[in-house]
Amino acid sequence: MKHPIKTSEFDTSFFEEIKEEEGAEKILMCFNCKGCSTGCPVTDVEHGYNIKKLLRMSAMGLRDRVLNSEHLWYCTTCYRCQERCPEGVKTVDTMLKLRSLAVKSGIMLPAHRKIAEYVMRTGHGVPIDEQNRKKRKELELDELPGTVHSCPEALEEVRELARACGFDRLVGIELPSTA
Amino acid sequence: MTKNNAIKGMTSGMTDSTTEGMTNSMTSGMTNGISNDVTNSTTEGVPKCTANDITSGITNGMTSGKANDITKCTARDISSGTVEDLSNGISGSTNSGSKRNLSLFLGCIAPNRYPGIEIATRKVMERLGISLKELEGASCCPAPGVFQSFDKQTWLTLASRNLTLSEALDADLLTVCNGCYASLADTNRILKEDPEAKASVNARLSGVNREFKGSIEVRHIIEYLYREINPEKVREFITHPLDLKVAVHYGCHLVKPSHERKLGSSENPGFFDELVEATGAESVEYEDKMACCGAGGGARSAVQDLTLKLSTAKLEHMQKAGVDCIVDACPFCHLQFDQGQVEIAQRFGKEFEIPVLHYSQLLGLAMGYSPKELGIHLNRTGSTAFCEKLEEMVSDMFPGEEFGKGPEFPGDGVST
Repeated sequence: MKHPIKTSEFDTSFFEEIKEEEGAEKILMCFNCKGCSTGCPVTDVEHGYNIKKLLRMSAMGLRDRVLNSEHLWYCTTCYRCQERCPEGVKTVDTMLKLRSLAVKSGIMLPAHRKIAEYVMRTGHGVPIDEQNRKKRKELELDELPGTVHSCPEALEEVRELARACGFDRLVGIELPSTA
Repeated sequence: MTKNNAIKGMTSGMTDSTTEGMTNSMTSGMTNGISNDVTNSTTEGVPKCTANDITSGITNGMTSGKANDITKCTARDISSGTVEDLSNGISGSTNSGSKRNLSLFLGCIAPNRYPGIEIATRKVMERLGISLKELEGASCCPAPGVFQSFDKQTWLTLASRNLTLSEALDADLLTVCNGCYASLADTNRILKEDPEAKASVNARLSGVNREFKGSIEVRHIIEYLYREINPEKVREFITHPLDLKVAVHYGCHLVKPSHERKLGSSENPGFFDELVEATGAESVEYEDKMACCGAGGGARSAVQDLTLKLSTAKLEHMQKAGVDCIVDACPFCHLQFDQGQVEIAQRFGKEFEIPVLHYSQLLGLAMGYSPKELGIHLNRTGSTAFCEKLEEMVSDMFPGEEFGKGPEFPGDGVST
């Protein structure tokens, strides 16, 4: 990020939205001890990744820069930073809120949209495949586990709930009602 | 203000605001203290701090000072790493009254990618005499990092539906996966504590004739076995003590966020190691043992190569320490390490050949089930050599006998 920030980029409503997540206002307590980045496993291998920076930018209201950042999706939610923050900043929880704001504004990685689609179509984020049906059979398990995979009414419940949450519309996946 | 004055000011501030349980060891340990303004503490004392790595003085949770007696601090004996006063930690049975029924929550990756974990769990729980009710129609938990990245309400709603399935059976829900544990335990807690959230979720659940009541607990097989059975009792069920060096991988969501999990230290826990050592295996220390495998938070889908670098770091540390296998508590970590070693070899040219087991599979081996019965041979990494080593071990222990046909196991399971 070489270009300097213009004050016109500050959007206070962004921080207000973030504060819908309980505890998010604690970003303001950060005094830059860098305990978060010091223990971050992603920063170890990707030195430019800096959760403290992302959160500070969010508190400043830099909506576009944050929501369009590819770094937003790097966090593995290991929670080490949130554990260690001496000020109790909800680093990971706020990061997850930022991501949901990105998704709300139409920013979603194709790979993630695929997972959302799997859950809505099959009820599983990682559905069974041919190879694993064979493995199950070999281990003397039922080829299909007793989950939504074996229970169409249950799958319909999941889809109904996804619709009730507006999840289908949120991620832009068609989920016609079978009722 | 010099550093000394800061320390003095800090410690005297603390002694003013603590109750009698507060010892000097706490304040003297904080020489490098990055602490908070403790004068904000209420006179009830220092809050339930998850004071972990005291030697570098990074403490948590001391901001709003809604406190309990300091003895509830999950502080451990840092020097020897043994567990000390865990009166509020993971020291014992949950004492939840009469023995609760348990349902088995499968999730996605165990049944659909690593069914060995499912069969191993069923076998070892049966051997321990713990019956598991079937949760019919369970869905994805849904994956905590992924779904909270999308929409929190959807995450809460889908998770609560899974909880209602177990409530209907009047059974606590047992998971074998850190991710499922996070989604289900966190949702259970949030909905129990926040009436608005519960009402909002129930409004949607009513559309499918379900209602979240908040009548059950969510358990993870590792903490369940540790607290309800305990390692000494598990040891009694071992017929084939394993002479193996194990890299124990706790993963992240089993122990963090530690304040919510209430399983003690997230920086230096010991309960999983104790369960592993109950099988006869040795839990080997390795660098940055509590580091993340990389898979979570939707990262494996989003930035796979990046996550494989995190896994590579862990594998290098494990390899350096000299281990026979990895033992994990989470099918997603399991996949990241097992499938991941294939991907790492292909993309980075590094080979590790370290076999990966879920705890249920390690326990199964120690109970005399064969690697084939436990699905270990279906792994993608290093299983052939490992299985051969195990066969050798068994034939040394019980000449002429095969795995899976070991001596009669003692007793009739765990007495209730």
